[in-house]
Order: sequence, then C-alpha cells, then structure tokens
Amino acid sequence: MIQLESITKVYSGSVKAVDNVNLEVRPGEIFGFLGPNGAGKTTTIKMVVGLLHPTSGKVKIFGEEMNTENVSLKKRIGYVADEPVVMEKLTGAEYIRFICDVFEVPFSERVKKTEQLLRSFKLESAIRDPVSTYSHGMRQKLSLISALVHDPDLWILDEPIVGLDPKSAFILKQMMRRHADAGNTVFFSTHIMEIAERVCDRLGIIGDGEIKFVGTVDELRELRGEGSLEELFLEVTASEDEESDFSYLGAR
Amino acid sequence: MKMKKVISLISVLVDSHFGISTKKYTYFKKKQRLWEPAVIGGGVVAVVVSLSPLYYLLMKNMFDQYVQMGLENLFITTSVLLTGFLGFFFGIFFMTNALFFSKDMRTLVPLPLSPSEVITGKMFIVFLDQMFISLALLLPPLIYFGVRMELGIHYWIYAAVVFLLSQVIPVTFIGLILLPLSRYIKINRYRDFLVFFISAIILVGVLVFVGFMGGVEGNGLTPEEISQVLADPDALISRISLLYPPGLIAVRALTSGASTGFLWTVLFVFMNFGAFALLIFLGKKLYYHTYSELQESFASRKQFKEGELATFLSKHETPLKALIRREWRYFLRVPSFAVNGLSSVIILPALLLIMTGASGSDQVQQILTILEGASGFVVPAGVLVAVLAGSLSTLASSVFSREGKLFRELKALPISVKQVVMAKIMQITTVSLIGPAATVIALFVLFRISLFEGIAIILTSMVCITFLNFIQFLIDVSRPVLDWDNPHKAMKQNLNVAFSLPVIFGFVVGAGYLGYRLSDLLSPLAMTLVLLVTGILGTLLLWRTILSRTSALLIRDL
Repeated sequence: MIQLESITKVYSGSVKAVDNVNLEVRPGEIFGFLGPNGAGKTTTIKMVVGLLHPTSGKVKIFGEEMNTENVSLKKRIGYVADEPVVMEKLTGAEYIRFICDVFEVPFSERVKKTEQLLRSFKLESAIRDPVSTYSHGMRQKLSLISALVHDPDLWILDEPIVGLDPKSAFILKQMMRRHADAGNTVFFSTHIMEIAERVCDRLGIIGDGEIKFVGTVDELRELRGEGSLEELFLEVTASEDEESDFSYLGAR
Repeated sequence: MKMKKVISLISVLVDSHFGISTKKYTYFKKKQRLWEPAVIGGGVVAVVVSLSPLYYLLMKNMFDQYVQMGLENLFITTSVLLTGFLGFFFGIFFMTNALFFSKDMRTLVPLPLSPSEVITGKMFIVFLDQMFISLALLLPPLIYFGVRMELGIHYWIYAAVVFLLSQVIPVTFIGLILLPLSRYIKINRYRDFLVFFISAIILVGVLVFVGFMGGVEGNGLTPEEISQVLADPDALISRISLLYPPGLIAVRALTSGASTGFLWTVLFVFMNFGAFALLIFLGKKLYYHTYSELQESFASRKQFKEGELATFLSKHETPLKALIRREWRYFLRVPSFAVNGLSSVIILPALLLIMTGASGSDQVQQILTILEGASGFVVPAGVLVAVLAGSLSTLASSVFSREGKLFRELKALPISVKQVVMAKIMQITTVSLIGPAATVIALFVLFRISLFEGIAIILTSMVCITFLNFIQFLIDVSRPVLDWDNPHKAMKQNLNVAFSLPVIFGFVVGAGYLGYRLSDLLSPLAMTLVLLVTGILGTLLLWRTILSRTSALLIRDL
C-alpha cells in the first residue's frame, strides 16, 4: 500500500533529515512509526502525503507515485498532521462541510458520517463555534473527524493521540483496529510505547534519518533480547547510554 | 477544475480571510466586543458622509472642465488609469501577503484539490481585496459619467463588465513579477526581509517608470501638439493610455457606442480571461510546485563547541536586563516588527534629507527661503517634527499585541509589573530616539542648526515622545490583540495602532497650530519650554495608570 523507495530529504542543501529510507507498509496492517524527536518521522510522513518532495527516491501509494498534484491519490488518504492544521476562523461545522465538498462526499453519507464521528469524539456541542475557540485536544479531534469523514482507504496519522482525552484515544485505537481488519492500512507515528506495543502489527524505528528496524515487536525482541518496548527502542536508537543519574536535579 | 469544489474553496477562503464566522460568533453568540462593529461602521459612515460631497464636487469640476475642452472621455480614462495604478501598488502587498505570509497552504496542499483550484482560490482573495480600490475609485466615476452623458443600457452593461474585471490585469502584472520570485523566497528565515526588499524595489521601479512616462506624455506640449489634441481628442486618450495600455481597451468599450463598444467589451473580456489563465498557469508552475521548498525551515543543527555553552551561560544579567534583551531579540527577529518599527521612525527624517538632496530645485529653494524667514522657530518646529518621527514607530501602540501567544510566558515569569513596563518602555524609547536623532541631522544639513539647538530638540522631543508613547501604551494595554497567526496583524493591521495615529497627529498639529497662533505672544524658547513641561507632566501623570493597567492585564484570564 505504501512503498518508500530509497527516499532521501535534504533541507537547505545541507541538513539530511531522511537518508535513503526503504519501507513497505502492507494492506490490512497498523504500522507504527517510531523515533526520537528530530529523527525524520514527520519529514517522512510529509513526503508520503505529498507535502514535501523527496530530494531523491520515490514514494508510491497503491502502486502510484505520490506527488503534490496527485488529486486522485489524495482522495484515498486521511491525513492528520503533527499539529492540528485547520482553518481557525471557520466554525467546526463549516470546516467539515468544506472537507466533504473537496473530497466530494455524497450528501447522505456526509451527514451520517459526520454525526457518528462527532458523537464518537464528543464534539457535538462545539461544532458551531469557531475553531479559534477550541482547545488543542478539540482541534485534534476536528482534524481526526476531517481525516476520516470521507472514508479513506489509507490513514496517515502523525502523533494522533497527542491532546486526546483517554476516552477519545481509546475510541481512535478501536477505529484503527477495525479499519485495518477490513483490509485497509493505518500508518501512524507515536512516542507512546505502550500504544505502539498494543496496537501496531508492525513497527518501523527511525533514528538520525535512517531506518533502524522494521518488523513486529516479537521480532525486535528476538533481535535485541527481552525487555519492554521502551527499553528496546532506547537501545535501537542508541539512547540507552544517555545520562541516567539525575541526582543533580535536587542538588543545591 | 470542478466548479463545485472551487466555489466551496472560495467560500471558505473568503470566510477565513475576513473572519466572518469568528465575527458572527463573537458579536451574535458571545455578545462580546459589540463596540467594534459600531466603531468601524460609524467610522465608515463618517468617512462616506463627510467625503461624499467633496468627491462629488471633484468629479463635477473635473467633468465640467473636460466637457469645456471637448474631452469628456478623458474623465473616464483618468479613472480607469488611476484604478489600474493603485491596483498595482496595493496589489503588491495583497499578493505578497497571500503568497508568502498566509498559512492556508498547509491546509490546502494535502487536500484533493488541483493546483489550478488552489491558485484560483488564493488569487480570488487578492482580487476581492483589490476590488475595494475599484469600488472607491472606479465605480463612482462610472456612474457619474453614465448619468451626466445620459448613456443607454449598453453603457451600463459594459461599465459593469469593466468594473468587475478592473483588477484582473493589475493582479496578473504583479503576478508576473512576484510569482517567479517564489523560487528564491524559499527560506522562511529571510522571507520577510526579501519580500519587503522586493516590494520596495518594485515600487521605486514603478515610480521611475511613471515619472519617465509622465515626461513622455509631458506637461510641455508645443502649440502644434495642443492644436492636434483639440482636433483629435482620441489621440490624447491613446497617448495617455500608453501608461497603462489595457486601460485603453476599457475606455474604448465605454465610449464607443453600442455596437463598436460591444466589440471592445468582448476584446476586454478575452484579454482579462487570457491574463487570468496566464496567472493561474504561472501560479501552478512557479508557486504551487515550489511550495514544498517554500515551507522548509532552515535548521543548521550546530552544537556548541567545547566550553562555548559555559561561556554563553556565564554572562549573568539582572532580570530587568534579561527582559530588555528579550524585547530586543523578539523585535529584531520578527522581521515584520523590525521592518515596520524601524522604517516608521526613519521615513519622516528621510523625506527631509531627500528634500535636502533636492535643495537645488527651484521649488525647494523657495520653500527654504520662506522657512529661513522664520528660522527663530527652528527649535520648537524641529521638536514637533522629531516628535512626529519618533512617535510613529507603532511599537507602543502594539506593545502587548506583539507578544501574541508569548504573552502567557510573560505572565508565568517570576517578574514584577514594574520590570515588565520598564523593559518595554526602555526598548520603545530607544527605537523612538532614532526619529529625533535623524531629524536633527536633517535639520543640521538644511538649516545649519547649532549643537545646542540640536540637543534641545532631542531632549524636548524625547520627553514629548515618551508622553505620547505612554498614551499609545495605554491604548494597547487596554485591549491587546493577542490571538494572531501572522505578525502583520499585531502591527500593521492592529486597530490599536490606527487609534493611536489621531493622538500623535492631534498633538503635533494642535501644538503647531497653537504655536502659529501664539507666535506673537510666545518666544521660541517659551514654546519649547511649554512642550517640555507638557511632556514631563503628561509622562508623570500617566506612569501610575500604566502600572495599574499592566498589572490588570497580567492577572486577566487570557
């Protein structure tokens, strides 16, 4: 479903954010994309959805090459950015209607879908207010509703759990599972290891712009030995040797 | 392009651009800031009511003069040309804002919209902004011309077409200049400086062009040329239209009668649609395709070298000094703040210096001779010029608005209200000082003022500027605009800045008028002392209010 073929992204001619990444995300799986801050997760995701052009290499989705102008491919993707990107001056309802218009969601479907999603994420009471009055969590919910209202085959979610209350996070995880079980794909990034371990079918770990590991949690354990995903992640990303003596924090 | 999608896109962009939903929510649902539409509406009504008779008289006089000369069509030519030129001037800023400062591309690019649809939506907003120029400068002359000439239905149809498409060519022309630059304005860090620099160059280029064409079109017509013009008025219109060739087609459409006018109108429509298609094509190729590069932010990811961090952190400062440094860093590192703040205090003295440069010309020499007759008043007059220059920085009237969301940081820091106010006042005062200093240099070159006079002007004006800055500070501290996503909204588009301008001009013009009327009673020294005392008393009286208002703002739920 998603194929990254030797993609590299170099910013401003010198900073290599993503370095020769090869990755395949298959239909019917939830793929977790993990990595420390600044490792290249968001840059990779932006290349997958066509927001950035790779400096070299190819991004293929459903076998087609992705680029900024591929409208038909974009229609099959539901994307949630790392920070909620919604037009602040519109009301939530106006924004959803706009999304339905550009994704050409039929009238009967858009009403049903929107109502269901609003109910699931408990956003009914705020939907007539401008987005500028929303909290971070509410904006994240609106982003999610907008990404899912057109029923996309492929969900690409960049840290979707951030800002969500526990109930909404739980609902989202269930939705992700259901979506993948129906033969679709969810590609998402997270920093929460418990979620990655419990929800993902496979993981990809990126560090310093390079893919360090791709496989299941069990395969990671086979490779690196027993331990929690958090410990294994720190080991893979070479963070386990970080300073762990914090006694200086209390010292006067 | 799918029309349904484009209409939906345009409607949300219009809503978002003018903040229609937010305003409806604030005024009708929350019933907050109800004074705002009242003030804006009242202001618009006041301007329309007060200027309409003047505008009507101006149109009537112009039209009557042209009729006497048998050149009535020149009336409509002038309006079309003026609208086109002003469209070009303001369009530079509208389009710069739409292309390089608006954040809507982040939302639009991942959506299933074609590049043509996105560019059409964005350009429509620029057209809409520009239409205010046509609304003010083209529509009234079109109506007046039609009524006075008693023209038939065909004129009103052609006039409607000309009016509705009047900004397409100016916007396309700006697009031809700005869109190719998209490739080069891709590093966010330098974007603002580049855009301002390019805009300035374009404006200067246009002024040079207009000056050059003005020379070609010429005031100094020979007697043969004058008789030629009177014999064939169309030749003059064609000649003037050299300044703005597309205007000629619009003029022909409006003044050539029903059937010939129809053909010109059709040509006008085709020309505009062609221009629009070119604009969309350029937008696609030169802007949309480079968007991914435009949004790349530069990060060098350089680490401190051995010992550098320790050296950096070991420079110990008092909280007040640290706050002042914060003010300066934030001011200088947000390019639109730095460019607006610094250019505002330099513009007036710069004009004086340009006058100095042009002092060889007859007109300037005449003005200087008149002024030299009143050279005894150079100090109080210089103080007023310096006050105007130094107060126009707009830093005080946006003192808290410029904080935006960072205001929360200010609330959270363990610092006193006095420290916050002191840091802000000191930074604003330092920027304001540029105005009087530059004014004194200009006056020294123009009038050879003495060092003592120069010092007196700087000291007195700084006291008055501080007083005016305090008033502006109070305007902003009462109602800061903290919720913005574009720094221009904190300064150039801030109502507090607009409210503070009458205060500054009121003080300078009022003091100047009083000085003129009392020049027989008060000596220049006495005038200077009155200004000094006014500044000192005003500053002292407002200090406590500033502290209490700032304190109230810092404890407010924001």
